[in-house]
Amino acid sequence: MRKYAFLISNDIKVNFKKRLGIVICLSLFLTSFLAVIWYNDSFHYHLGNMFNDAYELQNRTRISDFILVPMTICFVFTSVIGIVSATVYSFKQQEKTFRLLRCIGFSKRKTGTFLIIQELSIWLCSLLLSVISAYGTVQFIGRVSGIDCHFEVFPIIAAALISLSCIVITNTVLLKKFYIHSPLRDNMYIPKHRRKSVFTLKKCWHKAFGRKFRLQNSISILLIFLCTAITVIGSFLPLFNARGTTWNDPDRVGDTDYALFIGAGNTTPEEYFIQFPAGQGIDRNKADDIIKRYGLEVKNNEGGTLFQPFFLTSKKGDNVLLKHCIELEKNDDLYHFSFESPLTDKMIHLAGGTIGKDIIGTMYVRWMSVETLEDSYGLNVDSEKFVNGYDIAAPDNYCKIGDKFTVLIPVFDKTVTPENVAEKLKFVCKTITVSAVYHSNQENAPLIFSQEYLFSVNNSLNYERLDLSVSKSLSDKQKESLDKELQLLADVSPTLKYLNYDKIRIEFYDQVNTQTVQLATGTGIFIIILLIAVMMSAFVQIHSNRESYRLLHIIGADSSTAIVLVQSEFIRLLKIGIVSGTVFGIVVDLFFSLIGGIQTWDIFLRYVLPVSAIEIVILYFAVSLSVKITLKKNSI
Amino acid sequence: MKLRVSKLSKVFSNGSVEVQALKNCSFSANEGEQIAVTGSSGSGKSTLLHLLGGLEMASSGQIFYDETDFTALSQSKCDSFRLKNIGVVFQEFNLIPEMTAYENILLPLMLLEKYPDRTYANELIDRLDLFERTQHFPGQLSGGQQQRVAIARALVTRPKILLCDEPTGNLDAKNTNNVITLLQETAKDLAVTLIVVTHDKAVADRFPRILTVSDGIVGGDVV
Repeated sequence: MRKYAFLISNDIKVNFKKRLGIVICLSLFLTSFLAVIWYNDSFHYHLGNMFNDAYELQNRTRISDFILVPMTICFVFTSVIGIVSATVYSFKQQEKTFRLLRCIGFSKRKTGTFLIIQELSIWLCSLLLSVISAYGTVQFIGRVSGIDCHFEVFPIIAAALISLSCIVITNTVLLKKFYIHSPLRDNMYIPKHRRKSVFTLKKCWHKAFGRKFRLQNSISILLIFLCTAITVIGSFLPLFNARGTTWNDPDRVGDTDYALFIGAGNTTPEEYFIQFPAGQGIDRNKADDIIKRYGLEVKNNEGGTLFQPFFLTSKKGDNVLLKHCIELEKNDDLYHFSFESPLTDKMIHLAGGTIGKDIIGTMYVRWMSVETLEDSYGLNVDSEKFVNGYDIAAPDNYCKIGDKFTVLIPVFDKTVTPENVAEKLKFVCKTITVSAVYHSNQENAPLIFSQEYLFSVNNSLNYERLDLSVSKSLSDKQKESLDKELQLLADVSPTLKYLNYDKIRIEFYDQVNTQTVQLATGTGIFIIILLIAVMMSAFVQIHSNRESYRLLHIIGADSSTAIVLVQSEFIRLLKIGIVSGTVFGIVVDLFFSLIGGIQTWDIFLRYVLPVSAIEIVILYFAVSLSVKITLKKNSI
Repeated sequence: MKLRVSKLSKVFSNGSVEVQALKNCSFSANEGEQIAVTGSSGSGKSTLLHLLGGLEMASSGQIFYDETDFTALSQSKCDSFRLKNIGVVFQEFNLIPEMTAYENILLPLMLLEKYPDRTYANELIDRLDLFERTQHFPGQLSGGQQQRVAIARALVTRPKILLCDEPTGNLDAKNTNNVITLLQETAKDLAVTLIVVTHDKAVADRFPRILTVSDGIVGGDVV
């Protein structure tokens, strides 16, 4: 043991700076390994608290998993390559010593033991250093981003085992290769493959050293790739994450500023298969008054989503609607559909129909104003006939223009209650014609009736949904007053909900900004770590290649030539890393856009593009600077 | 190119220890002249060559190439001057192992940012009998072949001065003879001033003029 202690202490004395470099290099990769796992874990936990809703959490965690988990794996993978690279560098530094030791009589086993003791001590120092630095880094990120980053023991064990395996395996392989040749063999590098000579300096340099430094180059490319990909994805993720899956996402409601709607709890006397919204909803008169006074634009008003009419249609002949209803009932897709029950018999009597000859069913119906029909479906109908309830629009998968049905529309007034509905309920019996069709593949696509007609036969019917937007500019005071009046309108019934999208929008973007800052902080710190790692990679490359730069200098190259050569090599790597990282990031973003079904071009234009451009510029200068600093430190 | 060295001194200092490698050396060399510099190990002959090539900076004194005060040039100008006017050959060959022999030969031209004129390079390669070895890497060449590649590299920019530091130190007698003959003939044909540092008396005797260095002082045919 004494001889090993002597050799190692001597090595530390003589090569202290080199060994320290290896320790820093290893601990840097281990730091990134540990920090990214801790941060990822904490970020997930934080995300869970931020959106305290099972569905939302599930969605967001899924999306975050899709991005953060592969990125974490990439980080771990890069760290592993970095550890292998640092080990190779460390071995190469000592190869001459091993050669001499072998020449003076050290056996293969003794040489191996010396190497392993040395590498294990380096590994232990690096691990301790990296645990401290990773903990510090994550705590710092936590302080800045407001995420409570927690400490886990498992990643330390994983990092320790993985790094130890890397070091032992790499050294074993290198030693085996080393033992193949005699210790007296000349150490001159001979490329494995022949190649044609190249006659421009940069190309020649790249050809000569590209293969030799491919491990370091791969690490640099991977690191730059990760920096770019994380930035591209990171700039996309917060807005995407907050968008599309949430009911209060302002982007989903377009330019609607206020919405009132029936949330739940409508009265339904089921035996009549009528959802019965008498007396419910938003008071039409009051709402119309507010709309007029504040000059609001009605984006959508619905008055009959709970209100189903009945259809009489013949059993005879090729009746497409009937066939469709029977098919829907088989699949349990048709609600409130009933054949020849005593209650439907009673209703047919009330409506003047005859059971056995006719059949009654309710289809899914939308009540829509003529303007909305034209705006939403692009259908042109005879306005007068539509408004007076003679014409309807229907889906083309089970109706065609000219089809006629008999429709029974329940009519009630304010005195109708579930108890007296049998006596008080009346029906309007009307023959209707399909005058326009729209394309649909949905089995229960709605028949579209005139809302104006519904309101005309049911005076007491209120709005069930009202979406409004501010068409002229309102002062803050006016907005406040409008908000109060709409709130009062909603307060009359506990089933009525009111949303002020104007306020929600501000809160939404606050939330997005918070998340953006959190991600940006984390990403920024990782980018700094990665840049230091790129610098280390440049250091390894430049240090290993010092002899070549010295030779260039002997011939007549000044120090700027070396800088140009190293920079051009790193800029080449930078280009590959940036292009591949950007493409990868955009592909991931597009993938999420597609699976999320969200229009995201605005995210690309407003967030991803500028952030990527800034990041590319920063990376470019940072890498150039780190190469320059490394070159200066190496005093070539 | 005419060389004039005036009171050249070099002191190496390592902490408090100072070693005077050269003391007030003065001599001159005419264009196309061939000179051998001899001396025992540690006498300062390699230091003299390094100073002449601008690979180290003189502590005092001057070196003139024609009218140019070489010692007054900045580091980058000195490098540039060396690249254009001085060829250097070493005992250890100093070839870049990752480059082919051809690339090593053409490297100075690449540094001059010229697209290499391969006609002249091929002439040199032919003259140095390296035609079959151009696509080989240094590790695949013998010592003599590597030294010939190094000579070709030193001559490819058509330098005015060729400085050789123990060019035959790693070679056997046959290769030594070949390399010295080659250096002398090539230098004569190209009108290059040739200065060869050697500790081998047999090699030195083949030169018309011999300088001796002893304890940092230059003697012999100094005028």
